[in-house]
Amino acid sequence: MALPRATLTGPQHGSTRRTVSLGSRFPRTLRAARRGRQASWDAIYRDLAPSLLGYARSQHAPDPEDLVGEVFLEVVRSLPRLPADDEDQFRAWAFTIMRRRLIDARRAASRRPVEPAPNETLESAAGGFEEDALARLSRDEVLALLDRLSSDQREVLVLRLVAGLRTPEIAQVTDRHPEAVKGLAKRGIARLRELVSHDARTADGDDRPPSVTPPHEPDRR
Amino acid sequence: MSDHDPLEQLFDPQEDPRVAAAFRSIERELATPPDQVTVQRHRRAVRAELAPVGPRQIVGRAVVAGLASAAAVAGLAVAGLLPATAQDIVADAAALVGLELPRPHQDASPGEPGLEVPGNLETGGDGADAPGDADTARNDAAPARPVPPTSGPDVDAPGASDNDDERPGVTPPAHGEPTAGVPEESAPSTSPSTSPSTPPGTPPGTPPGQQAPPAEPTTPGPRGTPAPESTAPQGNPNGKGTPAPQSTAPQGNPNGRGTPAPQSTAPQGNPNRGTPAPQSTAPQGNANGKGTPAPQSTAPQGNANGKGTPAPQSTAPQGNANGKGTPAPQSTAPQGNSASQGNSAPESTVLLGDAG
Repeated sequence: MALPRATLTGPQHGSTRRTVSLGSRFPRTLRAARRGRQASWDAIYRDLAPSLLGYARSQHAPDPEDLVGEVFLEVVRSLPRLPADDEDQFRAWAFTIMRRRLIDARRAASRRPVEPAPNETLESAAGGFEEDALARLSRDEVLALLDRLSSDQREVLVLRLVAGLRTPEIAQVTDRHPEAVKGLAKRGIARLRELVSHDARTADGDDRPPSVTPPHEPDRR
Repeated sequence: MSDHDPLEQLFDPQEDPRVAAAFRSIERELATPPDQVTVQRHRRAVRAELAPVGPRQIVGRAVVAGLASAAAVAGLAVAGLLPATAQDIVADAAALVGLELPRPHQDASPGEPGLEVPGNLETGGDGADAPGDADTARNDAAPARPVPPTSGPDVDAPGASDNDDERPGVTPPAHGEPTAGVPEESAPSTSPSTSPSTPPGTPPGTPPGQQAPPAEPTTPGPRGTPAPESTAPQGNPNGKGTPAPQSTAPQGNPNGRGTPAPQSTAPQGNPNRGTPAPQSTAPQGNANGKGTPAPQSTAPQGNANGKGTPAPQSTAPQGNANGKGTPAPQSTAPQGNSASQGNSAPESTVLLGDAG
């Protein structure tokens, strides 16, 4: 069954955008999900899983798909304890779970390093579909661009761009002050502009490197 | 930090088209749904999480609950804490497999209803038997407890005043006055009000001064426990609430720690520690105590449990069965109140089984 694509266009919440959203149907869907209605859970999964997976990928989770499954099970188990029916709060709560699971997964991966599989095995398992390879390439390009940001800047921008969270919700998920989130976003956007401009100049024949901070350097809070 | 929120202007139309394209690429490429295999796996997991409890789980929970209940019942049965009927059933069942579990009748404690009273208490033969009092006391079922020692010397010691009227808080009852807390029928006919000249403990018909036959306890009582004669109707078997205000243990000190009375002529000598008082004129001797019986005592019944020396000058016809030679000042019962304070019967019971 093909899942519907996320809504990529159309302003929501004023000037902000959200990739996917149940919108006005969310409270009713959430109440039905609390009662255990499977269809409601499917709708929530379709709404939530892509952004959860994108966040996990951007944060280089060891196994993003499995992590999304664990987070969603945790959401199913813990939903009766979530008092609010507000969609923004629900998404912030889900991404908080994801972030904590991600930290746990990183710790577990550091304790049990996984030997990467040989390329031949991966190619045979992938089946060699051309479109998948193209999609992977495009995603890899985006991830490469994001990797040139610091991890904190990348996290804030991904939570805004992919998860559709706003500054107070990002501050809640990342356990930071909203002003710190704004500062991280400002520096990350500036860095991203610089990188994009540099890439454009490189494509035009100008090879001056961008004067930016080295990537993967966490910002001080 | 300014109020300007850069995250709200990511998609500003005035943004650089290349930067805006980069943002859209991030949005599009990262927010992709999982592949179909992953989606199906996740949906199965959610469905399993939402699935109601299956029959196998119900059976499993029932088995666990049954085992827990059986363990609880077994523990209570081993401790003997089950109700009598259930304890019997479980004990019978355990006996089939060779296990011995306590049965209810093994746990019967003195003072429980239905407890058999030895015959020598029931039929004292010395005129001191008070079936009504004894039965009432047994039913009241206060556990046997030693008589607490008094700080002062035994008031029954020689020279002590026998006049309880002089003691504070003691009001000698009027003769023939009903006793508070004691049924009318429990008042023996040998009460001093009816036969003051006849010592209590003397069988009916015995002339005054004649000693009653000794009532020997089957087993000596412990120190601090009343002698079997403490069930005498005219004695104060409790120490508290002692009805015999004038008594200062004329029949010897059954339980006291004092010096035994060698001259005691009490027919019921001190079977435990004290020497029987051969010269005692008290009809009952020092049953348990070590104390000296009152040689000059003319009181018909003695201090059954007291530690002190019995009062030799006592002329009280009723003894203090449990006190330490001290009559119970709180008591207003004129006759042996073995049940008003609920203390007499257990002590009597203990007396029978205690060798001192």
